[in-house]
Amino acid sequence: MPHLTLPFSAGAPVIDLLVGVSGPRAEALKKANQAIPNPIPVRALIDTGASCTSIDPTVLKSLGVPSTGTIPCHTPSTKSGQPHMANQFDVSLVLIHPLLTRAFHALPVIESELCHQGIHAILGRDILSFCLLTYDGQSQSFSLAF
Amino acid sequence: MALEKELETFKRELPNLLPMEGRFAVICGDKITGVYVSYEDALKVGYEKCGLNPFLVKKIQAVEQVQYFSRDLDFACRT
Repeated sequence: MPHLTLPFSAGAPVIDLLVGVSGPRAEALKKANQAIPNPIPVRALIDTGASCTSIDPTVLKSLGVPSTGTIPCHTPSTKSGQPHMANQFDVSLVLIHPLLTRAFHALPVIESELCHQGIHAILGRDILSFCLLTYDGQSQSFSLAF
Repeated sequence: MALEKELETFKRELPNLLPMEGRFAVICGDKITGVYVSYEDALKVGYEKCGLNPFLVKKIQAVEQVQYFSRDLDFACRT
């Protein structure tokens, strides 16, 4: 199982990912003789408090992906029983490793403004459920195996 | 919100779709294009049948599963 051990970035577990259009969308673009956008490198905060992955709208806009769904979301600011309906987008996501990358070809993500936090994505438990995460607060590092 | 027509169609057809709870419906305009076992299969068929036109992929559930975030998010609003 390939793994990465990285130091915290600004006190947090941050990892580099590649986000691109989903495999099915890439096929549709190809069929329509349209260019397939190159995957975009993004910095993602690993967040076990997020049940799904979210991406900054600037990344989704650069990829030209339209919404293909909606999903109800609760945050500390939403009222009980009144979740926010967030737009959902289909993307591909690659966990980068020097020897063996792990690709998710069709992943539903939501969009949220994250740039101002110095990140472009939140890596949630939908992806972490395929990984082994070790958080070493004492040495200010983390390991992610996938 | 985007996909208003498709969401309306899904809401209208949900009682008929519930026997297939857990699967994913593909909706294009006011038509259910099909129901599939996985999200990826539904997405594939959505793009095959609708091309680059808008379509909706929605999990069939009697009670929609809510996503939770322990931090506040600024949900972008596209018009």
